[in-house]
Amino acid sequence: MEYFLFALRNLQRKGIRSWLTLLGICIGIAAVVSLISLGDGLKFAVSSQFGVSNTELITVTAGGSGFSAPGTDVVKPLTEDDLKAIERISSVDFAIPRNIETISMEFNDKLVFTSSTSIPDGDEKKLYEIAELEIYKGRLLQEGDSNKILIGNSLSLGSKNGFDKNLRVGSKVSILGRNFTVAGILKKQGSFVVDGIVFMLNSELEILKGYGENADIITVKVKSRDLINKTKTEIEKLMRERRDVKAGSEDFTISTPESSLAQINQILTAIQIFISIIAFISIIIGAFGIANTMTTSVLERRKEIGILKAVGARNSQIFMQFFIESGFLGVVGGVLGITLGVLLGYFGTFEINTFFGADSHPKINFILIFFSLFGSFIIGALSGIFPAMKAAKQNPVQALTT
Amino acid sequence: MINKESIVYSLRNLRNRKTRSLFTIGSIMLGITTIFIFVSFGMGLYSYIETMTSGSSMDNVMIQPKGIGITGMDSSFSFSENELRAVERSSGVYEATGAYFKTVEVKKNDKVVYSFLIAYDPSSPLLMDVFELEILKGRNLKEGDRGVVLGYNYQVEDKIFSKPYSLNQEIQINNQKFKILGFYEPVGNPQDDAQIYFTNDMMKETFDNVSYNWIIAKVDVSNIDRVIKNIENNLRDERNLEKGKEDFFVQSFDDMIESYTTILDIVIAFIILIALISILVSSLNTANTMITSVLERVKEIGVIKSIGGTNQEIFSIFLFESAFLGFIAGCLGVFFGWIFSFIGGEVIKSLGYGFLSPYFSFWLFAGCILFAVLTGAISGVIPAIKASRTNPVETLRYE
Repeated sequence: MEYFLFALRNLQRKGIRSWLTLLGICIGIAAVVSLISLGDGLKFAVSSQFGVSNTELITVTAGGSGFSAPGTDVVKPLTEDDLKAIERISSVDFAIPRNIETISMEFNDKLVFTSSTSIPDGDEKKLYEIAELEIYKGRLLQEGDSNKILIGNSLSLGSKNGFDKNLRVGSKVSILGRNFTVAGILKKQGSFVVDGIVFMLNSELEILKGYGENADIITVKVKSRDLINKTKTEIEKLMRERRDVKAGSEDFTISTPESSLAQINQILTAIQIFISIIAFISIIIGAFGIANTMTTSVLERRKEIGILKAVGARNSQIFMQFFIESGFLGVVGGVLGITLGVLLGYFGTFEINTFFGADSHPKINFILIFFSLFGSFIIGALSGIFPAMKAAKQNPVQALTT
Repeated sequence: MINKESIVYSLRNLRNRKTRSLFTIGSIMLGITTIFIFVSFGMGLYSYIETMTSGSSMDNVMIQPKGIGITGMDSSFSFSENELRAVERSSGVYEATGAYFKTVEVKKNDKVVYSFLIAYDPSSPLLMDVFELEILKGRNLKEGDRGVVLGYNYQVEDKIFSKPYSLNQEIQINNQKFKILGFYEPVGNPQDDAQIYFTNDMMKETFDNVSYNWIIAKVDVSNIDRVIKNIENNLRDERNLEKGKEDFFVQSFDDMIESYTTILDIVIAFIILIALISILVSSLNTANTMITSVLERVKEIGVIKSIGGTNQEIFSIFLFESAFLGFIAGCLGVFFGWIFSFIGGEVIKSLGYGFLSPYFSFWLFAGCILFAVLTGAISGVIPAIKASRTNPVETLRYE
């Protein structure tokens, strides 16, 4: 305790110098903290785009889709027979084919490009269940609903859809030259995969694009969450046999919501780490500042140290005093930096959410705060080690005579 | 402004406070090193783009279908032979040719790889002019060829397949065999170096229902906006579209590159902004060092002033000191930055991303050093003003 009071008094006495040192470490820590929390916010916003709350799903896609939507344009597409074979696996609840096609849509004399996903005829409810589609206005599509479409929430808004005019239930649009009526608008999901696209019955989309009985994606619903990995392995084995490929050279991908999300998170984490490392350099420089201030401090207080030693202070006590003083500089700078960083991160995350239309609230990461606080003490203390050792080793006689 | 005597005096001061000077230099140096590395790689990327824009490709115009995803790569919409003729007919167009893109399956000893296939017309290789690829082995495609030319990585061991391909061997693409006629020089990224090149005729023979993904036209550049309008009008008529509802767009090669450069600008600016934070912290350190220096030498300043030193002289001495710290730090920072980016560039190149290599220019070195000097000088201004304003009587009175 005594050390702390002593340290505090010394820091106060050195006004400007302490403040500049604090500011240095504060800026560095604020940069790292805000960048990390911004990265977390970005990860959250991106993962919310994939609507992965339903964890009992497995998606099967054929390999080699080019730059278009997943599963389209592949060399060897998935077929109706593949679907039936998958449905025969005992742990599979049901499987549905999905096709995703790029379409052009005309409304209000404007042409907009977007995607359309198929709703399997007769199995409409299954798609609504797995994609968690809920109606906002109008109604969902049923079997035999020809020339009718469902649209995502943001596609209905004139400010977002590119038509400069709201689409309403009953609005007439032209898709690839054919006329359609909007039967329903879906509830906002916070994910562009649903909010910005058009849904129509498979039979309708097939007429427009002519893909026959092939499917871009087969989505499989597993009977229970515990069976997901077992089922994944079974489907893998089945598809290998059906497509006549060996293990290790599969020309298809089977992914669970977790695995596809993990991939995106991996990329985002790598970017986050890279940027944080750059920002971390400023913390190192801040540490240089602490070391510098402490070295000066030791030189200035040579006489003081000499007197302390002369009245019986031990080397270890002198060391501790300077050590704590510099750790203290680190902590105070750290607290200021964390406050600033959290604020920046909070507002930044808010902006990111608005940008992605994700419905999340910025979160404060307490683990991050704890570690930065602890880290800033360590950094401060480490930069003080050499000056403190120098102080401790001083010869009292010399210090007092010069 | 500053005489030799003052310089000698400042240098001696810096030497006397060795540890502190070293810490200050170290902090500016770290910041400069970081900035140097990122700027050199950034400039490398710009010069990579510049090599693409140079030369014969400048008078090219790209006609691409609209769609979602990567521009022009969405195969949902495409162009027919008649539409190509419509582009060719437009006034101001010298030559027009279509190109196909397709993802294909390449199989070798049970291993399957998906590659990007590009088909062009060898009698009108506008697309290849844009890529500016040179043949490494074998020869380029000719009209009537029944073979393929492959990207660089196909003839390298363990890149795409463990055993490399060589000239005149056969390659199995979508279960059909093709003779390998040549290999291209490396482009510098794994995607482009794994591409396969076909002739348009062979594309039509091999795959059903193909239509052009891109049309490339060589045009009269002196009136490029007019020509683009002409192409748009003709193509719109051919596709029976109303004005304003085009499902394609016409873009000069220049504009296309510009859109890439804009993204690059943002990314590089962002990274450098973060690196600048470290410069900010180091300038705080420098200011700190200089303030301490002024406080310590208050008496000295008093003495100098009392024997006739002007405010101006005192100011220059301190400003010189901090700028000199910046200069040393800048030189060291540039040196380490150069070493790191050189090594980093070699490592990245060996990983197959040759396009991401650092670019060094005299101005990069000079600019970074100048920036460091300025950082030092600016951080020293306030302490230097403080020093020059000390009252000699007051400073000498205290003991």
